[in-house]
Amino acid sequence: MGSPKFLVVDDSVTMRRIIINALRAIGYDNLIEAEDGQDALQKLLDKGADFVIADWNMPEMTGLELASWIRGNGFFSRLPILMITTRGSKDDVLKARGAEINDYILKPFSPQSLKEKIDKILKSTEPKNA
Amino acid sequence: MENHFIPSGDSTAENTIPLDAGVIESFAQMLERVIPLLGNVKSALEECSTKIPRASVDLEDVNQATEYAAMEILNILENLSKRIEVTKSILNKLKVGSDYQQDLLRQISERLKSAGSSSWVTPEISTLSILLDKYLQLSDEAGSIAAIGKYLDETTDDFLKITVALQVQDITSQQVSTAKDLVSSIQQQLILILKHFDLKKRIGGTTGPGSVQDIEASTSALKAEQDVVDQIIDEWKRKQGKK
Repeated sequence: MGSPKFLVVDDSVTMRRIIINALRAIGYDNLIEAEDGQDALQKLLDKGADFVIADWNMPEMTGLELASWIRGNGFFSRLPILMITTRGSKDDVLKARGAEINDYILKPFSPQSLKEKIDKILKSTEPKNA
Repeated sequence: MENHFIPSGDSTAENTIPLDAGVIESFAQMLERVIPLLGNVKSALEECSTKIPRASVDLEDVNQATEYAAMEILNILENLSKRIEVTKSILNKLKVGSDYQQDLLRQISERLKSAGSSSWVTPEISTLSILLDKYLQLSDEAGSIAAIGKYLDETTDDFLKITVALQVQDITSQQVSTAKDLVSSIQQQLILILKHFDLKKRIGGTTGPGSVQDIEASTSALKAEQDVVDQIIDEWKRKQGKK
């Protein structure tokens, strides 16, 4: 498999650019972006993606709602989801786990910590050879 | 002590409640002290309510300004990074050219050495051979190119650190938004309190609740109410003075 296609979802243009710059720096350059959950759904349906990196707090459709939609959709249900957010309380983490996201990273993050999370998720979701 | 009778709503004498004049006096004195304080409370509430919409706008301005600044910094960093990538690409081409050049010069040097004392090796050619060897020993273009490449890589890393540090804009922006929501909530509470002063029906007009116009209307309504209270107190004082 080549470089996975990442869908970066954040309502802040600044954050999207920061995440995309960080992804490029750690070697991923197959990237698309969306400004909220609704836009992300459209991009998923139109262009597809192998990995979703989403913010939590977004207008129209939050990151959690997006994750719930993805998990409930037969075609995309196994798509890896990494949530990047400022919400670090135990309740928030539990809510995110409840929405079956793969992992959770708090802002501010470093490119290295982003790489570690992505590697961990990709390793845990890669298809096992028979 | 003299007894006064307060009508209970019914004009018949048997339905009146006897009250001690001292109690009324104390109550009136208490009112005299409390009413100015209430006026202060009302003024403070009005002032807060007037400033809050402005505070919300200011907070939004802060968010927009920091986002604009972050975008500008990102634009510059991305442009600088692109220039560094172009420079690295040129440097790589230079390195390939330099390596080829050095290889050619080494080959020439080897051929001259292997010629030894052949008839065509004149003293001038021997001198040139010695100078060429010195040049090959002293020149370190490859090393210089590698050093420049290393500095460029470090600069790229620093740019990335600055880029990542800009997350602070998003983090503070979210905190400011939370503060803005809190301010709006306080504003709503203040409006409710002001309405509790029975201002709602006095405000009138077509402006929405919480607007500056709304607050200004409530201020003039409060002043009118204060005038009525002042008149009652003055009247009471006059009567007390006559006794």
